[in-house]
Formats: sequence, structure tokens, C-alpha cells
Amino acid sequence: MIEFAGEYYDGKTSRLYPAIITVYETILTLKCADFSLDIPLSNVTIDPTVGSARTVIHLSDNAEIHSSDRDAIRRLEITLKSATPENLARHLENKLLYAAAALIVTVAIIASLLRWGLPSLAQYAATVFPTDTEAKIGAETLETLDELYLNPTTLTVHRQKELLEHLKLICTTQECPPFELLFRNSTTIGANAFALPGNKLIITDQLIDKAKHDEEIMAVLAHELGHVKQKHIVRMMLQSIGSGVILVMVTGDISNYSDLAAGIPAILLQQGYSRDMEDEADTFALETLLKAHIPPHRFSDILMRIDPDTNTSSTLFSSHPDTKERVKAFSR
Amino acid sequence: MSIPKSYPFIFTGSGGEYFRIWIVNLALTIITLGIYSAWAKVRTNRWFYGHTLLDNTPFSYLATPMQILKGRLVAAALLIAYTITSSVAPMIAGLIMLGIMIASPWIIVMALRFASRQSAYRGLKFNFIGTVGEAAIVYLLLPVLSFVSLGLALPYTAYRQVKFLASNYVYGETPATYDGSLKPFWGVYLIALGLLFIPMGIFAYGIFSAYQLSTMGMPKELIITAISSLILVGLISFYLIIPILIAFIQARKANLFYNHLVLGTVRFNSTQRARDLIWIYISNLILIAVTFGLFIPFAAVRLARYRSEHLNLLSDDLGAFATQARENISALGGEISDLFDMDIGIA
Repeated sequence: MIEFAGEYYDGKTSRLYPAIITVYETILTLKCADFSLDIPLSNVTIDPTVGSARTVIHLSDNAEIHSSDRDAIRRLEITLKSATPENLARHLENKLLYAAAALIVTVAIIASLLRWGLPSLAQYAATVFPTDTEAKIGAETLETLDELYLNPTTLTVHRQKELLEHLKLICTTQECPPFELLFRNSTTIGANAFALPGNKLIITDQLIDKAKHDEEIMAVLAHELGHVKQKHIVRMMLQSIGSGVILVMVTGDISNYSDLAAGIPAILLQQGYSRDMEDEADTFALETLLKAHIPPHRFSDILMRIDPDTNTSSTLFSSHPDTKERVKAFSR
Repeated sequence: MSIPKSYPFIFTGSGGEYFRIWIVNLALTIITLGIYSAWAKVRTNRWFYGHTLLDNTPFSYLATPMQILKGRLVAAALLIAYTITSSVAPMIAGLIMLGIMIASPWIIVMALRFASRQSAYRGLKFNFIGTVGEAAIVYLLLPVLSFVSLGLALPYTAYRQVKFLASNYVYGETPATYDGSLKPFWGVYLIALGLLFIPMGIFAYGIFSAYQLSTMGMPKELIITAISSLILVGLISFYLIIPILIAFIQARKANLFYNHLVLGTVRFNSTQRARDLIWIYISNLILIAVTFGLFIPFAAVRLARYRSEHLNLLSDDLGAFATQARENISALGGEISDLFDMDIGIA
């Protein structure tokens, strides 16, 4: 039996009835000045308490009982077993150390999931990703790029063919993925080369102009072929979708302030992903050059020319590893 | 009628207590990949409501985690669809965004209705009876008009939004009315415009002095350095002025909202001061930044305490309200607007 003083509100008016509440095994009785009520416990629910905030006992038809007798409320809560799903939360809240530890562990789990779990998953998903969908995405992206940034090439058909033949020749000594080489002119994006979904390699006239030797162009294309071979573009796409979904699920309830901060690890992780991919593409390029008996410094030569001292260029090489490090790898 | 008595709103929660609740909410939300966020939201709201006392009676938050979860799942599905289509088929993503924009007045009304239907005081629920049509006018049409008129319609828009909110709340079966006028809103936005002139003035001064330096024959490099450092100062003051502007407008709008809100015989007295709120906002921002977010719960409590300390209710009989029939409303509106971060701007 629990007995306590409280206030009764009937749910029909905002009138306060001071009341003495007694809880028996199956029934709750309410004694007010002018009336008394017997309510079966099956019609009584209690909001699980949160911290020291006052809680409300709900009766049927919106009627409420309030009380500042925390002890009695707690005992009623145990009797009604209403707090079951939130008991764990309350237990953790009472022990700050548990709470902090729980947070650290979960942040670590999520971070490693994003850093290692998601890339492996994306790598697998990329191998089973439907080729025609990928081709379609690539074609659409190219269409948009052509509209906004790219113009038809100014190279002669002969020169285009010469470069294509050269790349095909290199691919006789290396296991190249299937590819489609496309030439474009663009003053907006400047000296640049990149791969699109659907095995498309795009190279700008500006990059070709910057090259002092055709082997330099081949080195850049070998790097992009590395991206195509490892299906990096599809992997990147799947990863950014995956991390976006996970982060939104996790931060769904964090207030506006921290939403901003939550975006930062996502960006850092994205850069981490792409750094790994650049390393993989560089490795492929180095292997290709060695097999084709092209001196590896061809790659560092053109890198240095495009991006002489830093890695802050906002175009192709922005997400790439530090140029100096890469140059070192290719200067041996 | 007797002389109305003044009842203060009292907030009894402490930052330390909320910190524990907040950090556990965060941990469980992360572990469960977001599923727990529905419970987290309910626990948070219950904590804030239960610590807000009026006449020694707390407010009660009635929503159940399952209600929140259902809405949240639908909203999450929409967001996932948007994220996926935005990289695969931008056209469809655009259509989803457009659909949400068109539906936004409905979402806003549903969110307001849900939030108020889940709030009760002394056994009586609140309600919100604003129409989707009016929401479309005050949250879609008028903001567009403000933009087209280069901000000239901003005071009118703010006035209509405050009025829309204030005159559509219902407590029990007593509808609220709004007896404020447009005029004070002009004052608020004129001062806000004045504040905005500070960084603009710094920019203008920078460009002017750079011009002077160049006529005096200063070396080019020096002038470029001078201009870029002035642009930096201008940008910093611009970013500083944003929280100041938000705090100023919020304080003034909250006062205009509550001081002209009439609920039967009940009136309110809100005495928020812009400079206090500016101080709270800026110090909160700095403390949140240096503690890597750990100050967030303390910041929220500080704000809640300030808001209740500066709100009084004037009434001669709090017990004289009555109720209406009950209705079920889904959490969907509330959750969509939560996930897509639409600020409904309730003062």
C-alpha cells in the first residue's frame, strides 16, 4: 500500500482538487474534499521519471494526478512496472561514469564502422553494382559536365588517335580495365584528368598542353585507370550515401549546434577514403609505368608542373595525398 | 472580477542533471543507430516540461516514443530517398525537395498541432487550430514577398507569423487571441537593419582607406594586405553580428508574442531583454566550441531558465478552463520538420 498527498485534475476542467491517494494491489483510491474515486490500476499509467523532473500519473479520460512526493511516485512506478524500457537509461544516467564510457565506446564503434566497415561494404557492393546503371550514371554526369564546364576538344583527330594508341600499347603489358578515353577543352577546370562511372576517362586539352612528353600524359591516364580498375567512383558514391545515412540516423536528435560539428568528421572521413583511393591509384600507375618501361618520374614531373609546391589546388589534386610525398614515391 | 494575480514560470532543472540525461540519450541513440532517438526526444521533453512549473504545477508532455518513432521512420525514409536520388538521379531528388517545399505549410501545421496536442497543463491539453492555407500565406508566400521586396515586407511577415501562432493556440477549449499590432515589428527590424550596417560600414571604410592609400602612392603589396585584413575583420564582425541579430529579434519577438497573447481572462508578461539573450547566445556558442559540444546541455538549460524567469502569467483563476473532445494526431508532421531542420520559429 502506497499513500501520498497530491493534486487531482479531472481532465475536463483545469480545476485543482487536493487529494489523498492510496494505492492498493489492484486499485487506486482518490479522496478529495467532496468526493472519492476508485480507479482500477489497469487504468493508471505513469510517465517514467526523468532526473528530478516532476512526473505525471495519468488516469483514463486525460485525468491527471500530480505529486511532489518523489518517494511515493517511485514506488508507484515500480508497482506499475511502467518504466521497463527506460530503466537502462535511468540506470546509466545515475552513474555519470557509465554514461561517459558508453558514449566513448559508441563513438569509437561508429567511427570504425564509418572508417573501415563502410569502405569494405562499399568495395563489395561496387563489384556487384549493375554495370548498366553505372554506365547510365556516367553518361548523365558527362552530359551535365559537358553543359556546364566542358567544351569539345581542340585536338586533331590524328593526335587523339595517337594518344589512344599509346595508351592501348601500354595496356598490352598491364591488365587494364576496359576504358573509354574522351578529350575535352575546358578553361574553367584547367589542366585536369578524371574518371567517371562507366569506365570513362576524361582528359583536358590544358593538361595535354602542360605535358612536355607523351609519357607524362600516359602516367596521368594510368593513375586514372587505377581508379577505374578499383571501381573507386562507384565505391565513393556508395560510401557517401552510406555515411550520410548513418550520420543522419545518429545525429537525428542532436540539436542544431552540434549538427554543424557532426558534419566535420563526415568530411574528414570522406577525405580519408579518397586518400586511400589515391594511394591505390598511384600504386597501379607506378606498376603500369614500370611494366611499360616508362620512367616513373614522368608522373612526378607533370604533378610538379601542375601543382608545384602544395596540395591546396582546388581541382583534380585537391583530395590527393601531399604532392611531395607522391613525387618521392615516383622519383626512385 | 478580482485583481489578477501574477504567477511566475519557474524552471527547476539543473545543467548537471540534464548533462547526464543528454549524454545517455546520445550514447543510446548512437548504439541503436538512431532508433533510440524517439525515446531520447520523449525523455528530454518530459524533463523540460516536468521542470517547468507554473503555480507549483508542472507541464506534462504526453507523446509516447512509438508515436515519435513512427513519424521519424517515415521522415528518415524520405531523407534516405533524397540522399540516394541526389547522387543517382538528381531530377527525382529535386522533385522530392519540391514536394516537401509545397507540403511545408501542411507539415508546419501538423508539427504545431502535434506539439501542442502532446502538451498539457492541469489535465487540459493544448491544441493548435491554424489552417494550412494561412500557414501557406505566412510561411511561403510572405517570405517570398519579403525576399522580392528586399526585406521591406519582413516586419509584416514577422507580424503575421507571430499572429498566426498566437491566435491559433487553444488551451482546453479556450482559444487564444492576439491583440498586437504591426507597428512594433517595424521598430524591431529597423534596429536589426541598423546592426547589420556595422559590418557593412567596416567593409566600406576598408575600401575607402585602401583607395586613399593607393592615391598616396603606397606599394601595391601593402595595399593588398591592408584590404585583405580589412575584409577579414569585416567578415568576422559579420559572423559575430548574426547571433546578435538572431538573439535580438528572438527576444523582441518573444515579448511581442506573449505580451499580446490573450487566453480567456489570462494574460502574459514577458520581459526578455535583447542584451541578456545576446550574452547568453554568444557565451553559449563560445563555450560549446571550446568544450567540443559538452556544454550543449548546460546551454539549453541556461536558455530555458532565462525564458521562464522572464515570463509571468496574469490570471484571477487558473482553475476556470474547460476541455474539448480528444483527437489522435500523428507525429509525422513534427518529425519531418525535425529531420529537415525547418525552423518554425515559435517565440
